[in-house]
This record gives sequence, C-alpha cells and structure tokens, in this order.
Amino acid sequence: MTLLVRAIVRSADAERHGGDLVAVRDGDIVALASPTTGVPAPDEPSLRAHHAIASRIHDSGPSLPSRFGQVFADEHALAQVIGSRRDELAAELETVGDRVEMSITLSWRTPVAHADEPEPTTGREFLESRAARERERRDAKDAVDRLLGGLRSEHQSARTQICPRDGVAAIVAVLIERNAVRDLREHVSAFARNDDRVSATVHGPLPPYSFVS
Amino acid sequence: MSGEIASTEVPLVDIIDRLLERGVVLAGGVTISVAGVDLIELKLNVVLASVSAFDRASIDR
Repeated sequence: MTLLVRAIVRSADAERHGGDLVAVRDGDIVALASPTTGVPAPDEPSLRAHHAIASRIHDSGPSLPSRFGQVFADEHALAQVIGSRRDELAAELETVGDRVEMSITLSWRTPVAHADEPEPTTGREFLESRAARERERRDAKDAVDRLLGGLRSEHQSARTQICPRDGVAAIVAVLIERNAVRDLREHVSAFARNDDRVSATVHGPLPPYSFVS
Repeated sequence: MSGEIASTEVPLVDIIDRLLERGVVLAGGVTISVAGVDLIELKLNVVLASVSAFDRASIDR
C-alpha cells in the first residue's frame, strides 16, 4: 500500500491526528499521510479532499501542507526522506508556526480578454500588443503596491503572482497570525471600496501552501 | 464602489494552482516515482484538465 503525504507536523502535534492518517516519524518530525492504492486520481474530488485534510491538520496546530501528488511506496521510503530533511523541515515549521495564508485576488474592474485578441500580423501590431501587456503588468504591480502599502511590516513577505490569467491583475498571498484575519479582511474591503482599478476577493484562512518549499 | 467579497470557499482554479505548484516538497522535486510510474505525467494531466475546466467556466460565465 502506498502513502500520499498530506502534511508535516511536529511529533507532539501528531497525536491529534489519528483515524484515517498514518504517522511516519523521524525524531521530532512526522509526516501525516493517507494510505492509497497506487497513484491517486488527479481529479477535483481528490484535490478538494487533499485541501480539506491539509486544512484540518493546520487548524489543529502548526504544519507544513504538502504539495499534491507526493506518493511513497511505503513507510520506510517516506521515513528515509524525512530523515534526510529533518533539520530543514523543523526550521520551516518554526518559521511558519501557527500562522495562516490569506489569498487576495485582485481583478480588473475593466478586464481585457487577451485570449480574444487576434494574433498580430505586422511588426507594429506585435510591438503594440507587447507594450499593452507590459502596461498591464506595470498597472498590476502598482495595484499590489497600493494593497500592501497599508499593511503592517509582517505582511511585507507577501508572495505575488502578477497577471496570472485574463481579468486577474494579481493573486497575493500573505502569511498572518490567526487573530489578524479579521483586520486583514477589513483592510482589503476598504482598499477595494476605494480603488477604481481593481476589485478584491479574499480566500482563507488557508494552510500556508505558498510559504513552504 | 464595491468589490470585496469575503469568501472561505476556494475556487477550483485556485486550489489547483496551490496544490500543484505550492506546498512542501519532500524529495528534491515534485516528481516522485511509484513503482516506475512517474508522477510528472500525472501533473501534466491535471494541468490540462484544469485549463479546460477553466475555459469551460469562462464560457459559462
């Protein structure tokens, strides 16, 4: 039976997660995994289930959520890998701690559908198209600066994706204490009410997917 | 001016983006072989599925 890794936790926190999860430990570091038969199906139910389990684990205490699809042949194989990265994982757990990720999507109020634009047929059209995309990226960075400008210094470690898809200026991930979630929502709400270029949607709190390596 | 919608339900496209591109990686990269099956192929399948799902969602809007 193979093991699908869900998250990494400290040994002391692993006791809270019995039942359907297998705990594979090396010293103070424990990998929580689900038994599977073969390769997991990469469909929506599997992804949502992985997210739900990672969220449940992080709600119970500090954890490093796993990227989906890390499957090990057995407990021995998983223990070997944990052992080889034990110190690094312990340091990341210490850094991330109990904090949570909040995801803020900034959407253009007047979106441009690049997918609907015809392919450039002349050099001039090509250069104009490229310049328009560069302007959009610059405007998106400005919007992120406006959003983050009013946040406290702990929010400045934000992870940002600029123009990840049509209509979206940026997706910004911030790592915050659980008791700061409400303040962040209020800040984003005030920002979105007053910004004439972008609207904002907040998702979270989430496990800190964007802040672990 | 409105625009902020507080939400705890994460859209599928954001879940896919997070679970496939982010999170702790235990062994060198995202690809771990199980019984000779390389999961990079699995990942590509997921990405293709997510793109088509996203396109469908855009059309439905």
